[in-house]
Amino acid sequence: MSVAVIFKWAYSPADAQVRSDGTLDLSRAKAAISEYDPVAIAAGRQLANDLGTDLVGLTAGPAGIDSPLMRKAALSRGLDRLFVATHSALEQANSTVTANVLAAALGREPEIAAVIAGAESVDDAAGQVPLTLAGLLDWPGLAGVSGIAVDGGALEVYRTGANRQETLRLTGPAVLAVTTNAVSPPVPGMKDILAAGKKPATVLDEAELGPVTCAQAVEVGRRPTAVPRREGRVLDGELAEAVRQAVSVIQEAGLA
Amino acid sequence: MTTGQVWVIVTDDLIVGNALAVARGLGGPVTALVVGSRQTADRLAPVVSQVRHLAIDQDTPAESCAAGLADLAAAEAPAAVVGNAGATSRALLGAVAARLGGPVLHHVTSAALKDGQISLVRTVGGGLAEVAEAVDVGQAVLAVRGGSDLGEAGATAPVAELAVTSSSAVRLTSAQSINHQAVELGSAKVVVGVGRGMKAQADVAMVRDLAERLGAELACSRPLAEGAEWFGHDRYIGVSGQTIAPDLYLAVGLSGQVQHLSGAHGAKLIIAINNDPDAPVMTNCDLAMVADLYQAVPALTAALGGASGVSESGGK
Repeated sequence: MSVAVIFKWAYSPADAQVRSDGTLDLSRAKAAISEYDPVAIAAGRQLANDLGTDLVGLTAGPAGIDSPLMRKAALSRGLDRLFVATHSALEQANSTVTANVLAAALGREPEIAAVIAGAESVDDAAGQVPLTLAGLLDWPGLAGVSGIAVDGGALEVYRTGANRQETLRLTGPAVLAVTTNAVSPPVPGMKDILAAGKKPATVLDEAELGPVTCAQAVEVGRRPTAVPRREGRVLDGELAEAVRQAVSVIQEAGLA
Repeated sequence: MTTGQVWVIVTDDLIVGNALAVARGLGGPVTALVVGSRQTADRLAPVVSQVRHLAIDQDTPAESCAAGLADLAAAEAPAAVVGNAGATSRALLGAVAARLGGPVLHHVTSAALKDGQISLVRTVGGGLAEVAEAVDVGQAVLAVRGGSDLGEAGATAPVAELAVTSSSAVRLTSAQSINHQAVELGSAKVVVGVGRGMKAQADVAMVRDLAERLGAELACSRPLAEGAEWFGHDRYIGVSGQTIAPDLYLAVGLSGQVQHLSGAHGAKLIIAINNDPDAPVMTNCDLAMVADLYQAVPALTAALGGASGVSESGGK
């Protein structure tokens, strides 16, 4: 039995520029483990420890996603082993294509106690893949999970909804997307980074994963989001003067 | 007119105003598929043409209906299925999309029927760009964020009770109500937002004083709504949070990454207080105060006509 954790290797929009034709310029961006996924990996590690099982990491992308940098970044965070699923369908990924590839890859693991995922990816900010994956696997899919505990042969899951705090009990496998603060992920130390090099990483390619058919939305146009031009007038002198000027602006706007 | 029903999946959070608006944009009658309480179903009755209520067993979460809902979608082939991006909706939309073999499209802002397909607009890249896409009728599964205003009430639609198979793989063993006063940041005239420049939760009181002086709602960047849990999830502004369009947005101690600011572009005036002159917010605001917020905030409160020092404020 193992615990699986899915993570994304992605660019942050904070490092991107938008071109006048609406395409994204990622030339100054560096791909990394998506912002909230280390929390998922840490939560997975905790659950795997509690169950006395392995933690298997899984990521998916087009050919080229696999790199020593990515493997080290992932394996240094507490994974026992790593699967990298590559598929040409991911050149034009949508959340269902990605979920299909992940489902096919997870089929390689004989018995999975749970699939842990992050709250949402840094680039798409949707939080959809884990839940579509649950749909494909016909497993329960629960997002907003703040805690997971083992109780005999079952898992107890905690989460806070809009109006209430819930405790849920799972007697079989599920996909659990954890909140951005479910656990505090440890920063990998030198020992972890060195150990990463010794842990197994396996690439699963299209031949092994099989074909993926999925409807696609067809792009018909794009443009940069209209953002109002703002002056950015700097007030960096003496505080009292800066405050005076700010108050003046606020009062002129009729807001004080 | 669409060739099939337009479904809006509604869960008990009821933040489906924008989802309803997008669904209405497709023309034709809108059916609310309520996966939640009967009260929620009754709230939808005056604003849609039909309500179908999937009652959930007391001891299972709404997600237990996911497979049953997917079966229903496969059998009835609605033209489009729209929901919000809450945790439960994503699970329900995901099950439907998995069954229909197409994507759930997120950050959708509008949709229309055009040339026999569904045309939609959504934002990508943390809000950097807007993309127009076309998807086949029957393959449109759309996640639309926000909106507590359900629209103009009209004739009360009938509420049909619907039974779908419910999975027993997950049981709800306890549910404790939280006394949470939902806040509608989208209609606030003045908003004061805080970010990771705040060192401790106790310091928020100082910013709250300023907010009260301005008659403002308090908001935050994402990390403080979950990472530090200083604010509820309905107070964080950003691409996956709230969108605001106030007369004034005062951004205090937040760096202003695109994923955050994309929720605040509608502000008439943005004033930022940050001790880092190179923070992204400083070039995306109207007035950039380079200052230590721990000095600037009390000074602003005092200058706006309040007593300086500790004040007995009611707090929001």
